[in-house]
Amino acid sequence: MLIYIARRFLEALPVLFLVVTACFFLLRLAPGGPFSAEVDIPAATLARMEAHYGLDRPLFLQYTSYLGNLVQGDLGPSYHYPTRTVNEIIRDHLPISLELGLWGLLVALLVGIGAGVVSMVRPDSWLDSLPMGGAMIGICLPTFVLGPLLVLVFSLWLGWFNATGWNTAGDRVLPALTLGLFYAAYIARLTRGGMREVIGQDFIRTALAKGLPRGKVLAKHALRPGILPALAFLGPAAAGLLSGSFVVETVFHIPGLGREFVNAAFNRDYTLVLGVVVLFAAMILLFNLLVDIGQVLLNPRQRFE
Amino acid sequence: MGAMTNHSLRSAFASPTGSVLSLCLIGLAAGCGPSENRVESGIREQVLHINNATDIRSLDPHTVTGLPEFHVVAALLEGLTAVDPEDMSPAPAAAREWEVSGDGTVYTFYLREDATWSNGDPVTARDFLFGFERILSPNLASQYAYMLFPMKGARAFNEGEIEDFGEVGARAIDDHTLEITLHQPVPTFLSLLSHNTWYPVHPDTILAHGAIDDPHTRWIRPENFVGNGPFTLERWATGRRIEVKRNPDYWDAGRIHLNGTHFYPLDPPVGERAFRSGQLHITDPVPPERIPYYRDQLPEVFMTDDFFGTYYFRLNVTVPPLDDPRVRLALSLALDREMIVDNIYGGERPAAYSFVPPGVPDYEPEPVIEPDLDRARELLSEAGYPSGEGFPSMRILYNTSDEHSAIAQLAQEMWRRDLGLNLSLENAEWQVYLDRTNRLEYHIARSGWIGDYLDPYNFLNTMAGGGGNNRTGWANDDYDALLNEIVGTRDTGARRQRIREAETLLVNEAPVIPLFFYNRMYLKHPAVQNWRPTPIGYRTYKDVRLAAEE
Repeated sequence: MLIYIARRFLEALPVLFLVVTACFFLLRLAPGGPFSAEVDIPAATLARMEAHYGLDRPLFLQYTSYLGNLVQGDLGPSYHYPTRTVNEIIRDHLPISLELGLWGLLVALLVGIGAGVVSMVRPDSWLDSLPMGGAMIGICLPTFVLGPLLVLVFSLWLGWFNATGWNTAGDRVLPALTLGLFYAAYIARLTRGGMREVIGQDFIRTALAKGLPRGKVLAKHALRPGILPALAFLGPAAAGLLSGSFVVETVFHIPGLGREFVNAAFNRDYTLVLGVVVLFAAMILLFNLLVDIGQVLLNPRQRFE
Repeated sequence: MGAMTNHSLRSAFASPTGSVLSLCLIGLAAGCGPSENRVESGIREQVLHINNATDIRSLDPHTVTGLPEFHVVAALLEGLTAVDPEDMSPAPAAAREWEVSGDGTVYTFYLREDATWSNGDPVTARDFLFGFERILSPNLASQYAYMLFPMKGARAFNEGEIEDFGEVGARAIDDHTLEITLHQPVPTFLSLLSHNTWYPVHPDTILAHGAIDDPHTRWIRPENFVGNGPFTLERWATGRRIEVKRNPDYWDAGRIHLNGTHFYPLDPPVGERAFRSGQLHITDPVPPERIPYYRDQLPEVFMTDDFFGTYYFRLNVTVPPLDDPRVRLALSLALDREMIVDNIYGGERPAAYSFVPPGVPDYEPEPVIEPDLDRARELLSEAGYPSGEGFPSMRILYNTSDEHSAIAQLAQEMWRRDLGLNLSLENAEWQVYLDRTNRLEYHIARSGWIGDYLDPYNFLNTMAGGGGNNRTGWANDDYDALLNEIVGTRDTGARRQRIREAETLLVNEAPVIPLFFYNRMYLKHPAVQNWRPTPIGYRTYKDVRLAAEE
């Protein structure tokens, strides 16, 4: 197992390298630059600003020195926020996105698996169609609609929560729901599908024939293989949840990394975009690995070479 | 509003959605919800909660470029003069009084002896000199260094032609007397001094964190910042808020009612929701689609103030047939500006028939063109496109925004319906839009200009031939000659006359088509008193107070 994990780590390095390289050069192809402004900037002033950050050097040299710093964990200065480094910005904003993501993940798992299992218990009854209908709406309803809707109802009409911010514990509720319900909907459908497939199999019939209670069979025998499809989805989903959601962070004004990332792209803050991309790529690789390990643990039939 | 009782919590869990809450968030619920919202606590503590709309980049008065930055800097630092919000005239600030030489080129400022920096050091004439030298240093690469160019030798120093700052027209006669020499009289000079580019900085603080001309040192961090303004920097949490606190040692501290101000970086729709839920005293701007609602339902919170800006279309005059002034004027005359402002802003912004916006004390906008469809059609057929026949397909470029998109669609439809032109729309992301207008790779582009100081010249000069802000390819010798005359004329009546002539020429030549003048539309809680913004974004927080509601 350890060898397997070590090998997966080594395999991830070239992927990261490719991501950094592609992103570095693609960014430079985009029109504009970090110092573009609506107001005309004298050429000499612009040249000085670029020279300060080494942007006047040949692109390939900039690339190699970026890689050199990256290896040492230095993501460089932000071009948009003078006096701040990318490391500082990530350190300030990533924990907030992680927390939001964790709450969202919790909502997604509890609601998703819960609804999926409930709808399985009595297929094609209202207990099935109601959660599944809800899940369909959840999938179709984008977060930029759901978020303001929740704010309207729970904040502006009922006055239970703040409309924006990330200060009190109550401020976590609406963003976590907005973020989590979308993923919950997918997980519910995947869980239901996975469970239905399992439930028709011989070992379940055997278990039932032996006289085990239905609830126990569902929870003990069917759930484990049944949530495998949901688990496969969970890898990228968790990376997405934890790396910050631009929409949710914007709607509720949460100072997470997702907002910084999107704004950095608009601002052509090359180093900040690159830094966050590297981080996200690493997180996606990591979560995929975790999911693979989880699948092996849940499904002994799966053997890794 | 905003209060969360145990009762409402329980009922939350009784509802279907509530059961979801109870499942996963019960642990959170204990600390849920404030018993008093921020508007209320703000009134009690005299802390103003205001939306500043964006995360500011820096607090360095010599390198910042945006209004949101200026709004915070204006609380932390103070220049020689301030703006009197009553009549926009220059008011004493760090300078208690001044004298002007007979020829209008030498200004002597007498600084307050009791003014101090937030670390207790006295504010001296040398601190101002240090500030001037800093912003003009070529290596600082300040985009706004040109604001100091009226000062003798400032431009030469900034462009590296002279290296000795002693040759620049500013000197300290003694600790509290500062003399500034201009290379020619500038009637608006005293107003210029309230702009952040002219602010002093604390020399020892700057030098403790780097060289005088290093733009990226950490002196602007809360733990390092030293200012001479009515407030001091307490906290700067990006993405969350900036907190400033009353400076008890400020020379005019007796006039400050607020104990502090918190600036939030919320997008306008988010700010509007925060305002509605009692989290903000002021949010600026109001999302356009919410204007009619607030104006009609909550007029006591809906505010409009002058703002020194114009919204216009640029025409690329290097592309035929836009090289023909008749075609450009026809396009301008065919636009129903009233309909545009009615549709987009509920009629709350003034339609523009001239280029210089309102707000200048002695220069009110006067229409210099009058929309006239018949004349527009006539001009178009004279130019060879009767009823729009044979007019090439052209595009209207705008940067991503619902507002710009809606305005461009209205113009497109008016030009189609009334002139028979088929133009298409083209949306571009901000940087792409900037790049293309800079390279003149467009036909018609949405545009705007916000003045840095209250002088029509600030607007007219953008269209000087070959200037970096022109971006239309248009150049006109008569216009440039008028600009030079405006600079050289001290007599205000004659100067006003030249300005009007230049404006008339510009709008009739139509490299730009003014659509409307900006204004500030914002929401203000009735508790906020003495809130008096100025058209150039300069704010004084000194007199503001928060009164409990009756």
